[in-house]
Amino acid sequence: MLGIRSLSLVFVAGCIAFFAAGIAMGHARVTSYPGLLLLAAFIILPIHVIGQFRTETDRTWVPKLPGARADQLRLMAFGASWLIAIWIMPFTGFIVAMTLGVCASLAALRISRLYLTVPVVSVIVIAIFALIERVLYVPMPRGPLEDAIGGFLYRMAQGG
Amino acid sequence: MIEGIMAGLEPLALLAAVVGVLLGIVFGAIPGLTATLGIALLVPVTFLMDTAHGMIMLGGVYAGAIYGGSITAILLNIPGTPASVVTAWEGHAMAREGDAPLALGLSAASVGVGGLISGFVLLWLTPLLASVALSFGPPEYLALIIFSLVIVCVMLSTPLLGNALAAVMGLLIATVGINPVTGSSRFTFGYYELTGGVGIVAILIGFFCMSQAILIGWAALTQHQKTDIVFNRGGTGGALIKALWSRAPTLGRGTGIGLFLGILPAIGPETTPLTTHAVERRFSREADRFGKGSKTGLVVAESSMAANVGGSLIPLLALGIPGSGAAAVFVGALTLHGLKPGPLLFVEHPQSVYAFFVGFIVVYLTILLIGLFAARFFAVLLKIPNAVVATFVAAFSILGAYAINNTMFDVWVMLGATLLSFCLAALRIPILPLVLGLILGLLFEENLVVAQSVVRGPEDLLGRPIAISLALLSVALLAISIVRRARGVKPGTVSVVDQ
Repeated sequence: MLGIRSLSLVFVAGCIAFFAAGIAMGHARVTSYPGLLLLAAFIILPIHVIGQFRTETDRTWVPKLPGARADQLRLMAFGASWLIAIWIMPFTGFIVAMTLGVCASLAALRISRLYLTVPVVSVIVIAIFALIERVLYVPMPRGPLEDAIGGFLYRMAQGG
Repeated sequence: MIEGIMAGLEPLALLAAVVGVLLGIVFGAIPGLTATLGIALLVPVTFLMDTAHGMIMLGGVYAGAIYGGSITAILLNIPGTPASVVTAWEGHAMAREGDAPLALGLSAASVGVGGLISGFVLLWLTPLLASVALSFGPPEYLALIIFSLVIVCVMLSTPLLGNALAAVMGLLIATVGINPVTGSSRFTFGYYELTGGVGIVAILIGFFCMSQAILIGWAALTQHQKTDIVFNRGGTGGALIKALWSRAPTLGRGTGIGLFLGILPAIGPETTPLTTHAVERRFSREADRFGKGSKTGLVVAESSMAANVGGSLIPLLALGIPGSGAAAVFVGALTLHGLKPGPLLFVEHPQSVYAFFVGFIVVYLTILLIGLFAARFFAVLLKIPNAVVATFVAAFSILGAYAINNTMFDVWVMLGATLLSFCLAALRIPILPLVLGLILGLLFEENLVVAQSVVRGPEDLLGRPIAISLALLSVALLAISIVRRARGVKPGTVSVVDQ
């Protein structure tokens, strides 16, 4: 069974392998500066991991997460809500994605008065959107709602 | 220089200092929100500001956040930041004995004095160090970077090989982008967003903000928030002056050691109070009171913590080498404003630098005033539910990462960095050497290439005593660390949690 540390090891090794792939594709020579760094990483990683494995009392490398199963699932829901919000943001625009993300994350963390949360969060997100676009001049991801609000603000600025 | 000093006293600069301190105290007072997180989240806000004002505001956030953690530590026994653990031992015990106003006053005065002294040392020592560094050639710079990386690796209590691996990974990630020698792109895999390198600020937001949001979210699910504030009203003026005056040597020692440790890479304000507290206890006549509400313990911890903040900015501004995690985020902020930290900063942007120095002194004057007269009001911040804090931090991490280049690519980089930080923690590999390697990577490679052509043999090295000394010092430190670790003696100052 793959434990958290085993998965972590796979991810870290994957990050290093990213550079190995680059060298294999000719981005840098094996004897170049990145090549030597890569070699060092490939040598140190297994030695460090084996050293850790030998000194750890729990040799299964499947550490148990503290807390109840329900809490673990809620934390995963918290992470997933932001992952989905980021994923849909280019399609739905900033306001819809961020409102959904904030409400879902609050619900995952047991703040569940949605009748209150959704309108309050929507107003705050729209205010932040207007502030960022109009004051900081940062163009945010746009969807139909942002276009409508942008048009409304433009008409307001034009005086009707 | 005079123009810079005057610029630091402009109304907008003063406003930036006050706003920075207030925001910093808010960040510091809420457990889970750290100074590093506060700076990283507020970097995009400074885009709209004048460079000097933006830096002053971030300086205020840094100093304010480190101080803010002390308020909740004293009144609630909840250290807002890891830097306030010792403050909680001494300050809260004093509060329980009915001396909460005196504890808050001593804390504010010690932070104010330590910070102000560190501000003046920053103003005096940084240009001096920078002028020395201007005579450095590539071999000296190379030796200095290696020394910084070595000192970070040997000071952390995590396994030495893990620390070294983190530094190597940081240097490796820094190679993404344009090859400084040939000008061709490396490791970009067709993504034009990677041509300028991996976004350092996006990575730092992932390491220090988004990962923290998840940890705060976990705390929201598993921990009960305690908010019983211990505060009794009463005048403290006379008692405060008496207590502080009789502990002037302690204040001096705390500030001196804090400054020195701040200048060294790896020892940030989080661990300095633990060191100075232990040192002072050794020499104090009231050693048995330490940990049970000792005023001396509180003074030494707070003054060293504040002095460390100024100290960590000295190598950053003079040499381009950050002295702490928060200072590392400063590098990202300076870079985004088109400033390259290092000795040339004083040649190219003297007005901004001197304005920042003056602003930093104003920051500590502000902290002193707020601390003496309004500190206790910030304790109510602990009534904000952790779930709201976690959601706020996550949302603003995404916003911050996006706002750097107005692209979702940086948001995905930030998420990747978040995942990497958890994976590294699971493997007991610390983040700080990786961050330092990432920030110094390009400089390291550039100097390595030039040094190879400058130094062709041992005879060339003999004419470079600074480079040789730093290299020998690095080797000695590494050797001592390996021997001590082999004997089972672990460095006791910094742990993974402290980062």
